[in-house]
Amino acid sequence: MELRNKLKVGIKFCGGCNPTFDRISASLEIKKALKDEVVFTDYRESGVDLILAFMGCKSACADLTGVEHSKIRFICNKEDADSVIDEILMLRKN
Amino acid sequence: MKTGKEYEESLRKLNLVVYLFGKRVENVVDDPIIRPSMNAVKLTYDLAAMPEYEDLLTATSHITGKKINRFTHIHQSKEDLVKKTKMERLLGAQTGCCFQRCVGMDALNALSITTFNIDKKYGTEYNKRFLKYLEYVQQEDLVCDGAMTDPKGDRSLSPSQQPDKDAFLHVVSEKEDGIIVRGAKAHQTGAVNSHEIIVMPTISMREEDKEYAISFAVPSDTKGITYIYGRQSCDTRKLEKGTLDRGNQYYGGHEALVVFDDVFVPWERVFMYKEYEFAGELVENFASYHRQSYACKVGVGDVLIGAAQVAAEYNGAAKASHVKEKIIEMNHLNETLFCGSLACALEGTKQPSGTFLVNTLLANVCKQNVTRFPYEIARLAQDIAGGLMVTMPSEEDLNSPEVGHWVKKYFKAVANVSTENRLRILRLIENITLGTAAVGYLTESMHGAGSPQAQRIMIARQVNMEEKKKIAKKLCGIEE
Repeated sequence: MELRNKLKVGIKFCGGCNPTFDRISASLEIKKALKDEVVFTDYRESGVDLILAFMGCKSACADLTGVEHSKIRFICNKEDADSVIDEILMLRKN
Repeated sequence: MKTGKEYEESLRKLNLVVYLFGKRVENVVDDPIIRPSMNAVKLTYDLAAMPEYEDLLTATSHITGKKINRFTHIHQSKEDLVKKTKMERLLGAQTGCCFQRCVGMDALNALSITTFNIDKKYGTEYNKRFLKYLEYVQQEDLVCDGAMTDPKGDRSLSPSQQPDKDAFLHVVSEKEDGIIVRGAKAHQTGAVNSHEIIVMPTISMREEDKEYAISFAVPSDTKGITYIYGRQSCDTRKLEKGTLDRGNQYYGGHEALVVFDDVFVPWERVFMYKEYEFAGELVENFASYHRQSYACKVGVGDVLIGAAQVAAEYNGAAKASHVKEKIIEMNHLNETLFCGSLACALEGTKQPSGTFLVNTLLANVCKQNVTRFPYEIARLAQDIAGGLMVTMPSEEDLNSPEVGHWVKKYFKAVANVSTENRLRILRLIENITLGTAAVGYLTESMHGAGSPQAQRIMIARQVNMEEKKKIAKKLCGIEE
């Protein structure tokens, strides 16, 4: 029951060939900050409310073919990560 | 796709004939000299299964539509070629060495083009055979050794003129169900970590050399194949009690001489048979793909630049302006190499077979830079590291009850860094610039995928000099 009330968020990473941003640490921080609000899953799972695409740099080259664009939030730096946390917390509060 | 563990287990089932230090190796997978190279290949499986890396390490098969390891993929777009470059940088950085699996991918892609082109001319069925083989490689997620370089004997003589016919691998006899081949392939990267050996001719051929114009694939433990393992500088440090002096604690590369002593190849695994006029095309396309593949050295360069910066910080020299300048220069050179590999991918074109081929001029320019820049990056790393990198005592001295306290005392630099950590980072720089990994980072950068002159010939052949002359004449008003 509790799970159904949580947001279902898919995770996608670029391959991290030459990262200017630690996308793996950022994903862990977001998971920690939103653990009570969100169920994290693979981005390919059906019924995801949002997809967080963690990119190592601004070229944001990860393949998101077939993914509904409006659901994607690109996270390429700390500001992106912080704003996603705020956005989701705000959404949950309302 | 296989997991890393399944890959390792699959190697244990092979019955390879491997010689090292004059003796047959009974357990190839666990041999301490060989093991680090297996670890590096194994990482190509492990990372493919991780969400953090799968975007580069996996692709969708154009044959089956299934998810496959990118190392078994035939490039279907420029994006595929770009992802190949990025994957190679990633793996170079993750391993700090040659991870050995790119050569098989490059052989598969080159053959996908040439088998199609031979069929078009002669109505043969090489491409059909090849695609069946490719599906098997993708399904089983195999490591293939792309074996091109023959020993070559007297370089002034063609294959058929050699006093020893076996200087180039050739057909010995033809049977109803296949062919018998003899010869050898030298400098074979990752050969003893491979499931399959894909043989290709090493140079362009003429009609008189047609016995040598052959391409085929055989399981790596086929009867008649023997591997003689290549030595590397400082290799026996891997037999010592401690691990600090190895530099790289986990990974390494390897090469071997692969001898084919009357090896049987069934027809269904023969992809070129005496169509000598296609040997040059296969060599050039393979070489171009492989010259792009040297993006791996950018990844190793990432490790070396990181190590040089750490060494500078541990030495207390990181704020010196000349050190900062040297680090900038190392990064400039390294990213320039990345530019070349990316550029030849982005300028790739679709071939009649459907495979995307890199821009061959830019691939050769990329590799030409690789024959030079890693040496300069290594020189700067050694400059920053200081002479201690090659004069410091062994790990056993560091831990010796008698002299260890002096090693710790006299090689201590900044206060908050242990002497052991200082020695560790210096050993890593030593490993990459003159130890086991220097085989891959330096000499392989020079000669792998063709020596520098091979690229210069290709560059000369492919630039449009007439167009350059025309625009120069136009701008200065020459009318002829």
